[in-house]
Amino acid sequence: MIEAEKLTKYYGRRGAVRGVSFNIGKGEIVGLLGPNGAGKTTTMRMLTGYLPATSGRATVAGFNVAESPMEVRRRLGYLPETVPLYTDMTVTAYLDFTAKIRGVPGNERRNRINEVMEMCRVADVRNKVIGKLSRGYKQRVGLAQAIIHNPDVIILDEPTVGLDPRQIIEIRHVIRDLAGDHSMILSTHILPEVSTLCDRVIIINQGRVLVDDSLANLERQGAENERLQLEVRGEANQILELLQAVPGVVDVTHLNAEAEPSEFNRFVVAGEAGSDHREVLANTLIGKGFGLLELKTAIPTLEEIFVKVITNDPIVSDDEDELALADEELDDEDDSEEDAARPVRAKHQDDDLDDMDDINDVEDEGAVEAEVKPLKATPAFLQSIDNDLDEPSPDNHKKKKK
Amino acid sequence: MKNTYYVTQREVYAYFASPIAYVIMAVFLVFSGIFFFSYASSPGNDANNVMRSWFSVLGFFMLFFGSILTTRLIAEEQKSGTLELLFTSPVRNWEVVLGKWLASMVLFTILLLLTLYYVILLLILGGKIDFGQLAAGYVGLLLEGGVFFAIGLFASALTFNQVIAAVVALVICLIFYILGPLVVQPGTTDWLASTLNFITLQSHMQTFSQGVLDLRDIIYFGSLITLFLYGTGQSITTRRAA
Repeated sequence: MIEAEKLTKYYGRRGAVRGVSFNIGKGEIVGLLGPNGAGKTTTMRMLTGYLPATSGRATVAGFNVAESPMEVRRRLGYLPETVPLYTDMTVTAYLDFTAKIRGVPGNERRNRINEVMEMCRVADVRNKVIGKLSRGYKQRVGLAQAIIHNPDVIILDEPTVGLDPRQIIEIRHVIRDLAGDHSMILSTHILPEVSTLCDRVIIINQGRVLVDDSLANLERQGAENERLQLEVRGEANQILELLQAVPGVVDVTHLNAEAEPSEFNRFVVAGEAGSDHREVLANTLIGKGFGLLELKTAIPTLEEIFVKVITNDPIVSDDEDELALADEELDDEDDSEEDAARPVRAKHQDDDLDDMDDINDVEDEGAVEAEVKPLKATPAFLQSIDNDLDEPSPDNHKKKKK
Repeated sequence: MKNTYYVTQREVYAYFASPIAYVIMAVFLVFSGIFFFSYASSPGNDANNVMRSWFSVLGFFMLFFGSILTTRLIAEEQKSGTLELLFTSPVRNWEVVLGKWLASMVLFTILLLLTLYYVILLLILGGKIDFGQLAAGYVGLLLEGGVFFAIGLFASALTFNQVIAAVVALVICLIFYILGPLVVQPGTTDWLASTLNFITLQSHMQTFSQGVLDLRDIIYFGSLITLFLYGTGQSITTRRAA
């Protein structure tokens, strides 16, 4: 239903989205994840046709966004990040207007408005002026407007941003009720939202797709890595030795090794993949008289996968000024270098869409890497995530903030 | 075309849902009333003269009312993000622009209908009114308003900021209003002078207030309106692409 093919958007010479490709089938709910400024909104705007793409192709509900925008718009419901509300209208009048311009036929309009108001739980404020509503209501009115014409494709840009926890749960219910008949993309940087709502996750950073895989896949493959978390009462070094001696155990980490010595010690045990070590470990510890307080399988959470993917993403060359921009520390000295690169890029931008590869070559001169392929959640990949989970370097922390 | 109607409907709703329409109407009627009173009470003025002077002074005031009425129409939508709603709905650019322009015309027409009160007053006081001239005067005023509204919309599409939009609109309107008389000395007849005079709104307004409906004038106003509405549509498209 939604196809993005090498979608690229440049603002001037700044690449906001570079060659994003994905494919979303009928009835699928896909979470578009990424830190602020990753290019989520720009990608969505290109899919809706609100922003023309610099290059690449977007197809929504079988129609090319650039060639038949009206056909696409008829089949598309969109909730932008800033909810597009006419604050001086009442909820009913607003939904009536959006139903009209979305082409809902006159005889169905009234019923459809009532139906959508029930679905989005805004029926109780139907005659109130939108400007006077609370944020949660406004957001749900925005959602109502996006689905009023029963579109095939729904695009929601951060539908829960700025809401309190109760409102978030309510809007999630609404979104989940919608699932099934509609293909949906929803962008967010709140990860639990993805776990509760989406079938599939696309993580983008610096305008490129880093991960595109099903949530079940990510979680299942995470679980395949035998990794156990233990809390044991007893002397740390003795326990450490004992654990390391257990057959099949690859690595043991003492989590509170740095802290003051205590009776209660926590460990992470990495075992050989494919076998269950829980019973052996429990028997060994109890047999030696240690107090086994806790034993659980550690699955990397979405947060951990996300942070790992983002922090491992090498910075692309022309992003140096992008980052500087974000931090508001534009350095004038860089200008000479940038000016040298500008004419080349300008020329390429005017060329055909096919020339994207050339553009990349120009940018990536001196960059760490040339092209990033979307990662699949392979066991090896998740293993590497596992290894880093418990010891985030100070460097990682710094990047995470950005 | 249906969409144009929907946009117009919503804009008229918005004018009356907020205090804007009422404030503007009140101010407009107070000003026009004061001028009507001063013309009507000056000795030796017949009914037609009163209306003619009134039309010409109102034409001047439309400079300001025109930009106040229209500069919010697009700038505000850009700011609140509702433009994103309109342009991801199956609505064309020109339908939105035309709809908004028509909404300001509707409001202006309502305003002018309210001023018919003066005509009734003149009739009651025994004035003899040339209704042809009166109708031509009103048509001229409507057309002039149409041009100012189109300019206001154009300025509104150029910037997010309503204040800047209002200033830009006022400057463009002023140029069209006083360009000829400002630059051209009375009596000169070279091609430049006549061109400038032709571009100037006032020269076309005069024929209307004399009771003449000239096709040339109507085409003149029509082309200015089309030009600025087209420019508005183009400006929205270009800004979106950036």
